[in-house]
Amino acid sequence: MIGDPAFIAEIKRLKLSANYASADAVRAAVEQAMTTLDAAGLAEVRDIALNRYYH
Amino acid sequence: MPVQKRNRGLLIFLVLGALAAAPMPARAADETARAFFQGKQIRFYTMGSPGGGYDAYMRALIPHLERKLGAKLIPTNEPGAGGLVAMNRMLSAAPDGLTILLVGGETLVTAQLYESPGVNYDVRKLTWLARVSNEAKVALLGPKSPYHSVADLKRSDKPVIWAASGKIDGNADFGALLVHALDVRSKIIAGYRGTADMNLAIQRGEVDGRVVSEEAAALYGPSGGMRVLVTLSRKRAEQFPDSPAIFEAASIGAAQARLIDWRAGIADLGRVLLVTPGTPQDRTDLRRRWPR
Repeated sequence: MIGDPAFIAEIKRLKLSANYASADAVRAAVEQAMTTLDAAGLAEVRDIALNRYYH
Repeated sequence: MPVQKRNRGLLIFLVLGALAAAPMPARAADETARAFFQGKQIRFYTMGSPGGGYDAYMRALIPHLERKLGAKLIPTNEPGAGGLVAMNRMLSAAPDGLTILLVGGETLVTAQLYESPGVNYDVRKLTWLARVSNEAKVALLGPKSPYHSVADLKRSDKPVIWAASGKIDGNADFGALLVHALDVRSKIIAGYRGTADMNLAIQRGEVDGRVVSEEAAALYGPSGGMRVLVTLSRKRAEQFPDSPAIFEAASIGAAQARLIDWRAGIADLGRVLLVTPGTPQDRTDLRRRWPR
């Protein structure tokens, strides 16, 4: 469907984009997002993202 | 009953049981799933408001899904809380395949990583169908902002002011990681009610800009006199080929580059389709095969 020419045409008409990735690819990306940083790295990111620039 | 005959009966029972439990061939399973969906109603949730980007994708998908499944899809907008409202609707639905969700994979992941209130799922245990689309993130600046390059940002002795709807809105945290990586003095003002409010603040010069998706920048950037300063990725944004990627625009240390790459990977999750965990495998697999 996402590769369906009619769907692609509709998406282009709406000035949107279609870029399919499989469930396995999504799962792998999620796994990478959740495991790349260790606990210290995550704590640093939380501090940067949620505290450092809000004052 | 003689032992031999009883054992043969047990063997037949076990073989039949094993056959029944064995996975069906894909085509047979698809036919079973199609027969199930025929004439049914499927609730299709999305996180966006009517008229927004998610709504546009949902409504573009519906006629194609209806044709493939023989079912009626009911579009249902559940905006709010960065997709968590829509997510909770999907999670609390019966796992029968009659609920589907289009949501930002990026916000699902960041909400969990940042321990946002209301997260009652584990992204590693969700039932993904596919990614529909993805776009790079860009830093969009307003017509009254004095900054025209990353070098301008870095030279500023005043804080650069960024707008956000919330700390975990899918963009603000990436903005924070961007200015951290560039070592730019910055302040983020969160609490804007939505895109229109933020765009107004940018155009009035109350803030310098904000981080948005490439698609959003293309939609209202040029008409609002806004410009893309930089793409938050290794590659330039397709729609803004004249604006540099962050790694072209500045020299970034390895530790900061790792954070930008990590966050860009999360942004790359884009708009994703999911079904309720526990949905029968054949009904899930049929829809995983739709896209091709």
